Amino acid sequence: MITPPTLPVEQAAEAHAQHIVLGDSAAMHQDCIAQVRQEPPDLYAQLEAATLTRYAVLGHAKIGLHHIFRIRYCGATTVTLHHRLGAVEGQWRVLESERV
Amino acid sequence: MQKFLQKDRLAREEHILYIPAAKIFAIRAEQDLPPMALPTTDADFLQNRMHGICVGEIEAMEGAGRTVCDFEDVPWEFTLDMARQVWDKSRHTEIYERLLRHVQSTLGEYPESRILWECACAEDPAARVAGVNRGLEGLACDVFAQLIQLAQKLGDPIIERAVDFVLADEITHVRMGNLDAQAHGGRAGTATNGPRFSTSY
Repeated sequence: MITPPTLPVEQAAEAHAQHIVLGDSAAMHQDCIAQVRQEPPDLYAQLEAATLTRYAVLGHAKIGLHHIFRIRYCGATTVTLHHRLGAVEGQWRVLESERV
Repeated sequence: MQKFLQKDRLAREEHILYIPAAKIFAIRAEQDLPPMALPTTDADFLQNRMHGICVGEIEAMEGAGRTVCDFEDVPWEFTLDMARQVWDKSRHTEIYERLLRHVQSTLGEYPESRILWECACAEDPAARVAGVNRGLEGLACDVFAQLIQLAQKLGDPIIERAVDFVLADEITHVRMGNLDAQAHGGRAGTATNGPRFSTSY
């Protein structure tokens, strides 16, 4: 039986988005599982290098017990990502992030 | 107007997430879930199924509308069938959007896979009606019959009656698909006087 995280998944997704906008590399990576799937493979390296000022959650869909968030990041450049979050050891973790 | 819209050019509000069916199946497999939601594996089966049908109705409406636009050199009756289907599908979209609310869900709660839209992108009108009307809408008749049975078990007359109204139209769409596919003989622009033209409107 998987214990569902106590934090709402929407809050976990927004926290991750804030970490990306702030360029907080340590927090960004802590949000993700170690082998997070990235498309393109160096997506997080690109995000760390980008100057982003804000984000907007555009959509949230479910696949089984996983949640996909469509988040648009704006700043010097604009990028829209899908982040897939799932429960891992009682915490929401980013399992996959891809550019759309 | 641009004809033969590319598969990836379908316009959607941004809160509706497009994820290819193969990827949805892979993500479900990661969770030891079957490719499609089932009552035995998914607590939100009803919402998930209603959502899949609702986006399917939207895609079918768009597909029939594009078919009217894409094929000019076809019998007038075929164009009328597709135009009627746009009307029916817009009504179905409204019904399912309200049914989604009835089951405490909303459009965008699940991803859209666009399987139906891809079938509606075939370059041959006979292939379109074979794929959408005969294939997918025929399959939908079984799905809707199961949904009606489920609604009866749940004691939900709203779902039961609403889906029954939609089912009546779907049966007509399968019949139209049969007649149109026969009339086209599987080739674009080569329709001959076949069974299709004995139909009265």
